[in-house]
Amino acid sequence: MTTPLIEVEGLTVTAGLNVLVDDVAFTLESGSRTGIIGESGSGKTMTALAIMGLLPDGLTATGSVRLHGEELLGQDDKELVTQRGNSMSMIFQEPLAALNPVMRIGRQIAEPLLIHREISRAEAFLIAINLLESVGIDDPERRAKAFPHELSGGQRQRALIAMALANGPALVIADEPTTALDVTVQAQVLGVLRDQVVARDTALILITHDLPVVASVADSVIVLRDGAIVESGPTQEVFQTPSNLYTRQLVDAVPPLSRSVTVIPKHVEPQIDGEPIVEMTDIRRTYRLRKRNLTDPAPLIHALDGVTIDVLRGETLGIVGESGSGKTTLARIIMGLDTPTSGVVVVDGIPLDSKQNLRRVRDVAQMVFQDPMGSLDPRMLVEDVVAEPLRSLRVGGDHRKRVAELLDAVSLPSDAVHRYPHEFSGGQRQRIAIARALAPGPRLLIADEPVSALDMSVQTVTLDLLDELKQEFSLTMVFISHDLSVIHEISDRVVVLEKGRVVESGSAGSVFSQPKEQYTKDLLAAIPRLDGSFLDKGFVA
Amino acid sequence: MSQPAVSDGTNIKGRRRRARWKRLNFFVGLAIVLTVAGTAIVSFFWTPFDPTQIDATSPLLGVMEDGHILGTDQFGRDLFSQIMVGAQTALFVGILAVAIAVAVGIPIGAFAAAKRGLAEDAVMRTSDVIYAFPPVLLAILLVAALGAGTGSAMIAIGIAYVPIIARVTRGAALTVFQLDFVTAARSYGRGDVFIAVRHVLPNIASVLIVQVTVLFALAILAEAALSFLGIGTQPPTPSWGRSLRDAQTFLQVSPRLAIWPGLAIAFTVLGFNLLGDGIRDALDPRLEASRS
Repeated sequence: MTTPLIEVEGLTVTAGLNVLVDDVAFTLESGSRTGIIGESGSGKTMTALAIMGLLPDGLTATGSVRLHGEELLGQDDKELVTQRGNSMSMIFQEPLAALNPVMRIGRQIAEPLLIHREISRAEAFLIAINLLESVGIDDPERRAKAFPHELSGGQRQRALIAMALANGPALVIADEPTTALDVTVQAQVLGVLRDQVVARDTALILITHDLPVVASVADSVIVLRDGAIVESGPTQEVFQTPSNLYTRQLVDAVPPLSRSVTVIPKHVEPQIDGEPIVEMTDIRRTYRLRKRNLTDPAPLIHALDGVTIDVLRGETLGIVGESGSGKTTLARIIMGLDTPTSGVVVVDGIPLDSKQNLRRVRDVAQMVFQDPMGSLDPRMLVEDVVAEPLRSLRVGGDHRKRVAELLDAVSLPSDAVHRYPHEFSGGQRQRIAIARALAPGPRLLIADEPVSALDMSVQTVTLDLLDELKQEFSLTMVFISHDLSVIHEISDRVVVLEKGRVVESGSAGSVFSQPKEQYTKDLLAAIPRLDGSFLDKGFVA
Repeated sequence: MSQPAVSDGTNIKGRRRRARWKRLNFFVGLAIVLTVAGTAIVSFFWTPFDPTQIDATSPLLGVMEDGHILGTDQFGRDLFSQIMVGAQTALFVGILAVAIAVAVGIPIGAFAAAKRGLAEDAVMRTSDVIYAFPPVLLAILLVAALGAGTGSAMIAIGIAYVPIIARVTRGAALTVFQLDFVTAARSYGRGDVFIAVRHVLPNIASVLIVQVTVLFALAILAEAALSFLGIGTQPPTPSWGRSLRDAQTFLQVSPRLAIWPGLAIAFTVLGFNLLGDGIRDALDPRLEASRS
């Protein structure tokens, strides 16, 4: 019998008394593609780092990790560096952070080559250009001379893949490689990643919280929870007939749109015929960039380029778009946090044309932000966080009682008031942020990517909560997201934005089942599906 | 995602040792500062001798002669008593100079961070201009206007440090002003002033506290320097810097006249620097994470 590529046995990672990874064991054959899935804190990244020997200070790994039968745990750094970047390599989540900003791309890709092979710089640079070409970067010679900030997010991630593949490693570990990318770019990068490891017969470990992403790339899957393996097996088998309750919950949390290409989920068409609460007519917002030189005029960025949108009372309007589509600018303009360069905005009968009126909008509209870490003041008690809008907008009544009611409405324990935001999980923090937004009794709730920073199962719960609260407080909701599945789940009507223009709009049912515009079709086609169908359809641009 | 902290390539044992070492910084610094402060307070009520009492019969006595712990200076004044009272001057100047710097610098920095654009440029460039003046030159200008004395020295030092505080405040506040909770506060109608005071300042307090302790040490040094040049504290008020100046003439005959006040300055500055370091480490988010 041949030795497997990687054998992990009884791998346990501890930080003091905390067990982060608990007795994990699995075997990988060369050329296999394995997904490790789990929610935040499940120990999936720690497992990968333990294999690479890159655990941060203070963490200890015990057990056994063998590469080609050779024990890696317990080897010191000097021995491990001969493996890292050579027989195994890693791709990180945030491509901008994983690349050295002051080093040219080609030079960075050449670096692992120069370390592990006896070749000249010029040779290494040529190989780097070939690698860039193989991961689908146009004009690789020019890109090789570029600095990381000159590339787009997708190009940077491709460059990282090229770097990881440089020495033809036997194993590549990719940790959430596409989480920071737009959906169409994600599809392309996943395609490149899969094709390249297949072409090179390299084994892949793909770590992600996103089940459909795993389904489209990996042929087997390991489900981690609290550091321990709860289930493993061939991907489709695990996802279609999960034997473990937790796996089933994860699978159930996948939104309908992300399940299959062939089955288009039905969408209940709500009857909304209210008056508009927000009327936006021909909104333009232009940003002037810094002048490049004295004679040329300063370049302009059109964040919003003639957008006309009505939000009807009582509906949930989903605004979907990729990064740079102007969706956040739109939210800020409705909130009066930003003023359009031209165009008319009327919110609940108040035209947003004077400072005074901007202030009055605060009584009508409130906002929930993407990052629940950043949107709560870390130095304020939860009670003060939620009561702040009441004080600021001089809402009468017993603030303490109101805060208790709000926390109850978002299903947080009443003792939460005397704690600080950092004592809560991401999902709970987002609930605090929602409670704060509801505090002054708004009629319009603007949610800017409110679930994007949350685990998928928490996403589902949070979306349900928002829907319930919408009924309970009779709200109108503008829900902004890059994630079509989430938009599909919560919206009555949908607006698709691209580069500051409205591409398509209509009821959620019609836009998602019969998209008219090519851009919408592309977006829909790029969604990874739980049945693995998207890459099989050959969606690799 | 659970992203690991960046590894700095040392083992746990080394890190624990360093953490303990840093806590030591804090406590030694605190002990020194408390000693100096205690000495200053005691000197209000009691000193071994009257520090300004001239005694022509016993000039330049050595250590422990005639009950003078550190001996006497050329006028027969008790050196130990002078150093004790000098602590008053040092702390007084330190506290007020830093208070001036903080009172003016923090609002300026916060204003610049909140307003951005032209207002920010105007304010920060003005503070750069002040920053470009050597404190000594500033002090000389003020002395010319107000007359020499501890007060002028103090104001001069305070003004010289305004740009430093303003810059640190602006830098830290800029980051906080970008955060979503500030946008959230705007969205429920809070104005710039409230946001700056209630949301931004508490979140940059740790940075400012560290800066303040370091400036405190620098202020004490600056006062000594100005007094040494004769444009700071005027006789007969004892000041460590002036004691040094007076000792200059007798450096050959009796070097200890310079050594003791010099040590007092060094000791105090060291204390504040250690304290600042210790506070910085105590507020280090990485250490905080490992504690919780």
